Amino acid sequence: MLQRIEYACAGLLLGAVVILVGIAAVTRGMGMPIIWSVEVAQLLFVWLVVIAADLGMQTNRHFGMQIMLDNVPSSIRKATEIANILVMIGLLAMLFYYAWNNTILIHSRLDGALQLPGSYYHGSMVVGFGLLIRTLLVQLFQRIRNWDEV
Amino acid sequence: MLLTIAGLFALFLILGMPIAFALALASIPVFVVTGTMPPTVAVQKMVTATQSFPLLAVPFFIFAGNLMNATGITERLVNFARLLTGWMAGGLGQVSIVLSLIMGGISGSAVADASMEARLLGPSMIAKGGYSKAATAAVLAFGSIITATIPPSIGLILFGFINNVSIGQLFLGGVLPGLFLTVLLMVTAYIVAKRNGYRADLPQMPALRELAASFVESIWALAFPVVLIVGFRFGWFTATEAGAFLIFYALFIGMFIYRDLTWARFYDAVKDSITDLGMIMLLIMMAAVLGYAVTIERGPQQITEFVTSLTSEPAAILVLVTLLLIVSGMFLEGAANILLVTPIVLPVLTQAGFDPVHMGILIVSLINFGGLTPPVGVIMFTVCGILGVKTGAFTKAALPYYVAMLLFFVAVALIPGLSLLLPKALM
Repeated sequence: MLQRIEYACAGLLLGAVVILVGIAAVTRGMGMPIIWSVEVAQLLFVWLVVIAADLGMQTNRHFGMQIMLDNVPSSIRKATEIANILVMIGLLAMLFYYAWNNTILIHSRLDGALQLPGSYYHGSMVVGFGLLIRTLLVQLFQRIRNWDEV
Repeated sequence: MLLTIAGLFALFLILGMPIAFALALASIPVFVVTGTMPPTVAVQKMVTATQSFPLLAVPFFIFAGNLMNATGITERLVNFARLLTGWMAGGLGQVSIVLSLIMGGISGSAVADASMEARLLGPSMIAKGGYSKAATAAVLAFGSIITATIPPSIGLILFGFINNVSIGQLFLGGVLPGLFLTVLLMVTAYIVAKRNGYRADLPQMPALRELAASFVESIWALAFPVVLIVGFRFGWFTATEAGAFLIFYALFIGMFIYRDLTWARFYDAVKDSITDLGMIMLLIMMAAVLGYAVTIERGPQQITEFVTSLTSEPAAILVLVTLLLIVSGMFLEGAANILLVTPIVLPVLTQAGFDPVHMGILIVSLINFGGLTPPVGVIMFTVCGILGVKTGAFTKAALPYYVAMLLFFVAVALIPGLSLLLPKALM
């Protein structure tokens, strides 16, 4: 369910970014450029990226080197994979904390022609790390529960 | 500190950590332990990494490529390539090489091209063409490299973005080397086919009228790279705007001309693009943090000093860098390699007097070549996975193509004109 919402949000954001950049190019070509168009596109893009990164995690798209794990006994492999997930959760929790501090810190900075608060951009990181932590926790429990399977 | 970063990165990589996370983990000590920079800066760097207008071209071209496949343009291009070269020795192998060249003009990713061709052409090459599985995998994998040099190429966009080199010039620079590589691979495939008795796909050359009809059907795809280059030349649009334009172009063709684009196909194209985008952007964000950490620690300067202390001969420096890139290409995936290694080696090369556009073409092809070599080769894995080939058999069947690639690299390195003629003449 959450995954479908995420895909829908990401799809809409992607469409909006494409259309905004298209509009900016066309209006510039006609000699009456819209300044805010690209700015909004870039704001939406960072939000698109964090949702897409989480969807990438859910569909196992963030690849690493498998060569070592493919050549050890399966119990070691499974243990390493679980340890990796724990390390990633630890890293993301730390980044989540700093992202939150950063969002508060940067809220008062106004950006670009629209003078948007910096937190509109940087808040995406808080949400992104949060989503990734949730996905990894789900994967962690799945792996522990299915320990006996291959 | 630089050694600590490199050591941590290697450690997490070997443990099978996703590369994006290995990058972040390796750079944490710089922010946390040394205290020169507060860790919030690391988070800020991730946000800034996404706020680059040229970089928006990457998701656009990924989306456009997936859409093009969904519009049914690919089937028409296969037909055109088949009429064009199917009658030669090696039949479908030649078709796959030419198809990569044509697809290169609308799609920017070698992996996507290789997997599409392995599904589309692979089975009939084995069943009808007399190819062994391994030989099929080899010709498909090597052909896909052409995609990465013909504009629009995701690798060249990333290279231009991270090193501040003009993406338009890089695109133009890739055209001649891409054509040269096509000819080189076709000759190799011809020799291999003659020696192993692979059959041609068509009994004789097609009638000119048949070829012309297929050309007209495919004109929408064939025209695009030309529009792209002309547009750059006259400054009509930037690479990013061209990407957005290509998406509308693909939608238009799919809905009104070929009418093959269904909602289900459209939805799949969107979904695939989003996960592709999530994968590559997370990598870019984390690489930006590590790149920043390495810069604080004066990494590029130290490495430049180290290299120049070994030799100041430009040719020797080029050989050293080439070897380094081949080795790092063997272990790292292409995008990670471009984002991580090129900002470190390009300054060394430009200081030795090499042109950044010329080097960009050479470096990006070298890095893509890494996708074809064990132990870690993304293109190789993709094709072998789809066709069910072991990597050992692949490398054996690929030997003649490795030789062809070597020739290609020597030619690109020694003849700057190959890469620089078009950008100099047109821009």
